Amino acid sequence: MGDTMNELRMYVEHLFEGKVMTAELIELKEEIYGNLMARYEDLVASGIDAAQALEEAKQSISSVDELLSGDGSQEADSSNQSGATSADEDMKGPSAPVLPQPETVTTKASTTVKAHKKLLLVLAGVLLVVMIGIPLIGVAMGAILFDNVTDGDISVNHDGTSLSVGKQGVQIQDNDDAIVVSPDGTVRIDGDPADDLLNMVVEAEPPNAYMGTSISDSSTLSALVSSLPLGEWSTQVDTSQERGILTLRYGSVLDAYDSEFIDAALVYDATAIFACMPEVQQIQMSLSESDETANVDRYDFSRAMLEEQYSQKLNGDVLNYDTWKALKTEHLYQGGFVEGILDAADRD
Amino acid sequence: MATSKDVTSDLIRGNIDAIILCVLADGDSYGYEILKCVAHKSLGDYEMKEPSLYTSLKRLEKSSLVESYWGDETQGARRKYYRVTQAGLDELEQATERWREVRDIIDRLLETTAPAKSAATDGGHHE
Repeated sequence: MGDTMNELRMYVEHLFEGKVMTAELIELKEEIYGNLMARYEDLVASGIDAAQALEEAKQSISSVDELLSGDGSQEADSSNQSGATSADEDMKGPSAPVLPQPETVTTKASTTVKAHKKLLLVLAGVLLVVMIGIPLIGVAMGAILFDNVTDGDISVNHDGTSLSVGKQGVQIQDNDDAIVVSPDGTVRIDGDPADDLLNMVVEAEPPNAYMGTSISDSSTLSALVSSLPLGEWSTQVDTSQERGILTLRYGSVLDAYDSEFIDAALVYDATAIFACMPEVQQIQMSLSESDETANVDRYDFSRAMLEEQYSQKLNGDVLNYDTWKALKTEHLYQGGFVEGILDAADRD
Repeated sequence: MATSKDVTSDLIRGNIDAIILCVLADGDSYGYEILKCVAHKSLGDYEMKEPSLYTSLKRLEKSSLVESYWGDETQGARRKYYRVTQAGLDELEQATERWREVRDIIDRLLETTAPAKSAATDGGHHE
């Protein structure tokens, strides 16, 4: 079921690729996703096999272009015309036949925008190739790659590799621990394939079911902690310290996974908890290896520090699909983000 | 007259708003469910396309003939529900009346006493 949700999510994302997302479109996207899931489930319930059902669901809507134009009263596309809408045509009286209206073509605007976007992408691609080509040739000829330039005149960030062109030349920076999700859904961290834990973080939907959980509501709190990546290894959830502090212990997790995967999950979990629990100001996490308490990693996350890193408040407002996804792609996945936070939070 | 599904769909499409208002008059519903309802009610003869549905709902909501609200599904896909307003019900009544009048007019205009070409050669009344 998770796979299907993922596939349908990606399909809907694809439908809206390149569109300027207004609040209205964000809602429409959510609505379309909900209906596609309902259709898929219905098909499967009627006996159709999962893969086939998925295909049919996708086929029920192949483009959202016709839904995008202004007031909706003059739409054109071969499969839909507004015709004589009940709302618009009221004064024609009994003598007006309800016949299909001639089609009006209003797609020119969206086609032009699309063409411009394509052109822009091609140009950006050419620029990137040229920019990478030049320093590579320089290296081949024994030339020196210029040293770190932090302010460039032009700067491109592509999938965790950043390129800046400044007064002093060209710089390519491959950021460590940057998380990259390719269009087909494969996840890599710093070039290496992700494992289950990191995939869980990437696929995790905003935990909005837990929005507004109170620190004194221990059963819901436990459920929240268990539902997050790393939840399986939770051994203790404590709120008995002074108000606003949450203490979480995880056991055996250091055995199961490499630290880079755990690091991302730690920051993700802290983010999720702050967003869901407005009363929590600080989260203390400790991770141990097997049952030994000797090797323990301890972290102290403060709400203020995390909110500063994300440049936004962590509360119920971020728990919708789009904002949550933006938190991940624009911050969590960026090289150095997770590392930076853990460095600040490290209590060892 | 050709009776392919496309032509039929085209002719029905002019009434799409009223059709949706009618479904909602029976109770609040959401996108996919509305489509299912229409397919079922038409005994399988008409399947509304999903894009057409969204366009129509947007129109109806803009004219305040329906209102929308989000369901409270706590996991996975949330659904957007629609409820018909009083104005919507009034409009439905008027649209239905208009359709009936138009249907009668067209019926009359398309009526003919001339026999179909494939009838008996005596050119008289054909059974």
